[in-house]
Amino acid sequence: MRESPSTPARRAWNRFQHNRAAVVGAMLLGLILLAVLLGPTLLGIDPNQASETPFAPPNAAHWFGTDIHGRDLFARSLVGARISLLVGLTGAAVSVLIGVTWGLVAAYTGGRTDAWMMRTVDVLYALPNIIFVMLVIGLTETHLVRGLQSVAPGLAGSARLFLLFACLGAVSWLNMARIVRGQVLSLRHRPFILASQVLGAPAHFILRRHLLPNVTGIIIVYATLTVPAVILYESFLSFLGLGIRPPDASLGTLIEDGARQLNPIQIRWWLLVFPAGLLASTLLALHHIGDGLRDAFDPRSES
Amino acid sequence: MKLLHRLLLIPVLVWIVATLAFFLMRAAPGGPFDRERAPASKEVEAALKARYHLDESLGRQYLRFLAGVATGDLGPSFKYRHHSVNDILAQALPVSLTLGWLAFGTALGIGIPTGFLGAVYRGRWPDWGGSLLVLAGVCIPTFVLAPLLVLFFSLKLGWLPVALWGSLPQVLLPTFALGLYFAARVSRLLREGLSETLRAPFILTARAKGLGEFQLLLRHALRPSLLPVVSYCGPMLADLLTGSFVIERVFQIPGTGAFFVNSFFSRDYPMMVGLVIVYSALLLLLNLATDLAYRWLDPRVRHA
Repeated sequence: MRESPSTPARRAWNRFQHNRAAVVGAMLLGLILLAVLLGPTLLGIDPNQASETPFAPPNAAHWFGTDIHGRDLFARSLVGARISLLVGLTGAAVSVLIGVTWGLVAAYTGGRTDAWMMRTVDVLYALPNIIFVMLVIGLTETHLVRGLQSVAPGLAGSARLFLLFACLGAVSWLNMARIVRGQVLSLRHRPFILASQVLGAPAHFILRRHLLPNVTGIIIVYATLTVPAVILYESFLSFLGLGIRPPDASLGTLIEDGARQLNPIQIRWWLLVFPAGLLASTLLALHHIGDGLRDAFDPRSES
Repeated sequence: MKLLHRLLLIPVLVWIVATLAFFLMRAAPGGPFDRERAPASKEVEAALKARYHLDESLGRQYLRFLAGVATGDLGPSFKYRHHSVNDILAQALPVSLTLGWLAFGTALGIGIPTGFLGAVYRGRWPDWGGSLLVLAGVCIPTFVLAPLLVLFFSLKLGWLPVALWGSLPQVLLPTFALGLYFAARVSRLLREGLSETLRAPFILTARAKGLGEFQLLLRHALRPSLLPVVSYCGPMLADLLTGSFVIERVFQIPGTGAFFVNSFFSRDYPMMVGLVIVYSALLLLLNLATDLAYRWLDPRVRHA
């Protein structure tokens, strides 16, 4: 006899497993993660090592060919994908952390606090994203570099990366806060919350035990949609010169370098096709996982 | 009344956003007359600063700025010294508005039919075709799509001009390159919305009453399914109408998008704050319009 699924999380997991596209997406993402984490070390190729053969098409020594400085594109793509995924996941995590806390507190407290918190969201929303990001980077970068140099000199070189995490999280939490607030507002006056309040449960207990589990589904779904958005936004920032600094690369900067080499005389397709393909398959995997999770957490999809 | 309240709140929010931009911008390191823009001598620099009132205290500068905005004057541009921000906006904004509306039309024109067919023929080939489009739109960054389009249609085939703005053929490539990403988002939102509506009990009732499929889809199912698309239209239009940095750079279009980025790097304070004011006012007005459309489309919201 199979054990019948009991908790909502287990039911969701069961449904997720039966969604073929989602499972394929999860496997694809797993594969990409594995390649990205272990690949560069196993290959033993330095992604920033220049060689004598610039613009070599894909061959046995360089699977994805080489770029303008003769650097191995396979190693660069893997390391670039690692940075893109890192930025995407951390950015999404920061946005979840701020957005969920903000939305939960605003909706549960209500009244004047709620009004002020949501007006703050409105103000930030009305500030163009790109200007917000440029301002944050411009205002904090020198201080951050100086601060890191005095505390941990080894990390000073990664200051830009930390800033990107913070900025990308900071621009993408607004929608999350609105969604969570909307959900909590509709839950707040349900009988089970009132019952818990009447029994004398403190606010933090109700938030953690009753409200958070009820919005988990939508948070997870929205987070999986945020990761690709953040990855794309990072590539746009890199295009502006505000993202990852050379010689380090993200998938976005690699694609941009490839696009810059486009000309009608000689098509160096590998410079564009491989990084863009890696980005597309990563986004595709995340897209299907997000879709699968949404269906899995949707109570109406219960058959 | 709630609507009037929200309308009155818009100038207040714009003022807060502009104030925030004004002070944050001045707190950023560097100034408008640094490095390569540095004047020849100390005297010239002092004269320039005096001309733009940069030698005054920050509080006075802010009051001057507020007084200017109140009379509809956004001040002089620090980078383009013989133009005011009003002049530049008057030249660049119409271009960006035209391109933005065209791209908006493209986004809806491609996104709504593909999303609709995707939901109706879920899991069959129209759905797969639509998904492919969505994937392409979301995965190919604009700064890759635009050069690829130029390479193929302009340089290889020679059908369309490479760049610039003005004639109809010059409009086609930027419009499509800008619209595709948004078309993908619209398509996806409508597909989700319509799939969900088609599972609702009232659709079953309508079918049970023997309503024709055509009428059922267009009259009953489409209207509530458009709601997510409508609420996305506000931010989408605000982004499209204020210009795209990437598209304008690739196609050499004289719109406002480039100023968003350049005004920050050249510390052109009035230009940047002016753009922030335009953007935020536009976004807030559009969001209000979106909510009105929402009430018109959804009786549940109207009577709540």
